[in-house]
Amino acid sequence: MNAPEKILVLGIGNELRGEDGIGIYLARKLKALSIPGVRVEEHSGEGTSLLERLSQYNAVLLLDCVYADRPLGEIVEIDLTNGFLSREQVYSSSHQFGVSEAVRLAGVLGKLPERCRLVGIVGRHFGYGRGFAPEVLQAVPKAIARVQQILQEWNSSTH
Amino acid sequence: MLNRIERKVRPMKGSKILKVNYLARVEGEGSLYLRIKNGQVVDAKLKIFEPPRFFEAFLRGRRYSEAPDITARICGICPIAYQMSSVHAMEDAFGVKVGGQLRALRRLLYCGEWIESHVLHVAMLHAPDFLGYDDAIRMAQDYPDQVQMALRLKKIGNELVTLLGGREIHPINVKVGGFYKTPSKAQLMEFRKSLEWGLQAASDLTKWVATLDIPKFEQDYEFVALSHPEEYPLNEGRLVSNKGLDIDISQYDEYFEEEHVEHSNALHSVLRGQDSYHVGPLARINLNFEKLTPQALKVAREVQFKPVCRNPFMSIVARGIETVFAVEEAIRIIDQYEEPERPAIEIKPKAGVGYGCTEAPRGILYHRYRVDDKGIIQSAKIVPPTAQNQKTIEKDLWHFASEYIQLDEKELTWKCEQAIRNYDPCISCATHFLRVHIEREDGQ
Repeated sequence: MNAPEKILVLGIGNELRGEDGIGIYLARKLKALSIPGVRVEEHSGEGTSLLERLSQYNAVLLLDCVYADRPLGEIVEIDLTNGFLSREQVYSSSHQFGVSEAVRLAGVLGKLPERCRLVGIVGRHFGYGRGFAPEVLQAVPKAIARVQQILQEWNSSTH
Repeated sequence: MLNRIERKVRPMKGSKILKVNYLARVEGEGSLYLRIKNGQVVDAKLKIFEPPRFFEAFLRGRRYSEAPDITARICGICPIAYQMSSVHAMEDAFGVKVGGQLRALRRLLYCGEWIESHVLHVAMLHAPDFLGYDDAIRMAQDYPDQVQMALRLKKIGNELVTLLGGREIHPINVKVGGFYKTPSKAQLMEFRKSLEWGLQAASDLTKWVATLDIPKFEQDYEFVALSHPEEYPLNEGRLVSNKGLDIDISQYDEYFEEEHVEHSNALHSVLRGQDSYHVGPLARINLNFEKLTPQALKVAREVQFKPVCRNPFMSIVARGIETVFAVEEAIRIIDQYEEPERPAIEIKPKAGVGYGCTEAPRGILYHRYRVDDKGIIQSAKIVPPTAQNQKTIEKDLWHFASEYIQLDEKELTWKCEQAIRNYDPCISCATHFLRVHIEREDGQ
């Protein structure tokens, strides 16, 4: 029997709303790599269930699309353990209780994992339908490589 | 997805404009425009500008059996409501009645959706308004026990939906005629333990929100809800109001009409020849108070909720009471549950028109379908609760903002947002972000 995974990776988004699906896309790519000790899941971004998932692991990595005043396809990495996600800086779209609320609330309630990080790709197109801009797709290999590096660091320190 | 938020104050010559590019804690995308002249509100428009979603159009040509799964996609918060209204409408068209334990299971599933939707709104989205917090996170610093309790309670609702619906969001186990798979008695009895805790938690949550400082504001609404002779309405009943309406749901189109207004992509619903009306928890509880379950009724009386309550800010208390009801009703259904012989009854399509109207967490959700003899959908009409409340929300804002006109833009915006959230508007159902735009023409 395999040992239970100590690291959770959550790919967040809606694959039917354009580049909002890039978190899901990254998660599927990562799952195919079958990294030992790492559990990969897809998540809608709904805040309350995300909060619960955050509280169940000591190390959680979120993969998501980021809408920001940055170049399309840029890779954004945020350490979430310090409560970076203040309302003035970022905001979630899903039901107005989404990723940032879940992370911030987990922080207030003492439920944030010891390690919690977000790796995202800046997107711009969120209309109905599937598909990503070339800039977003081109960022995928680099994002996956960075995620693998983070997971390797986390894995080595949890053993 | 992570988004930036923008708040801008942009003064103009002779007037003040406050522009909030988001109204938080409202599901969907839209804006409020308020124009004030000489200390009077002269215009109030709730604008919904997401492109029309075309669900009614792309249902045409699909099989009757696809309606519950397609319409469930209209909303991530109330997919059960869409599934329920669609299956009831199809069954009506085919002359089929689903009863017994299958009917009870549908009611149980709906209880799950009410619990998760109501608790999210009461504790996480609306309570911060009453306590002066920007959001539930800041509120959680001072009220961690209430927030933790609400999160656990909401999770119970989610789990109930997962248990019966197959998954938490956009469930897949509902079909015309019943379910694809029904739960075992043992599964439900195991879940009952969570509900026992939930009943006390829902009661405590309701008593807590009843202590909040509720603004004094009343309007002479026409409340519209389903009414059933034997039970608090979820799936079935006649459409009634406090002003004499009492019709079969098949008469909906005779009594209600939808108006297109220039500033919104969602249609405004009105009573034909009359005016706006009010749907949702406050309407339901006002029209069905005595049919609440015993603990819900006890809590309602303890918090001194008295029907007919015309204060829309009391909707937070109404949602709390309905949460108690939903938990209690779920326990009752589980206690009386006997595993059905079949998960669904057989459906034989025939040409006709079917009507479905059920009580979504935010109010009545009407579906009408015309199908051919092979069960192919020829036409579809869907009227979500937020579209029905839209005109009422505008009128509330018109009158409410007039009473608080002396406040500065920040305070007035806060009050208006709080008033909008009385209706827990699900704008993406109605057609997504709400922007608040207050324009003062008197330079104050």
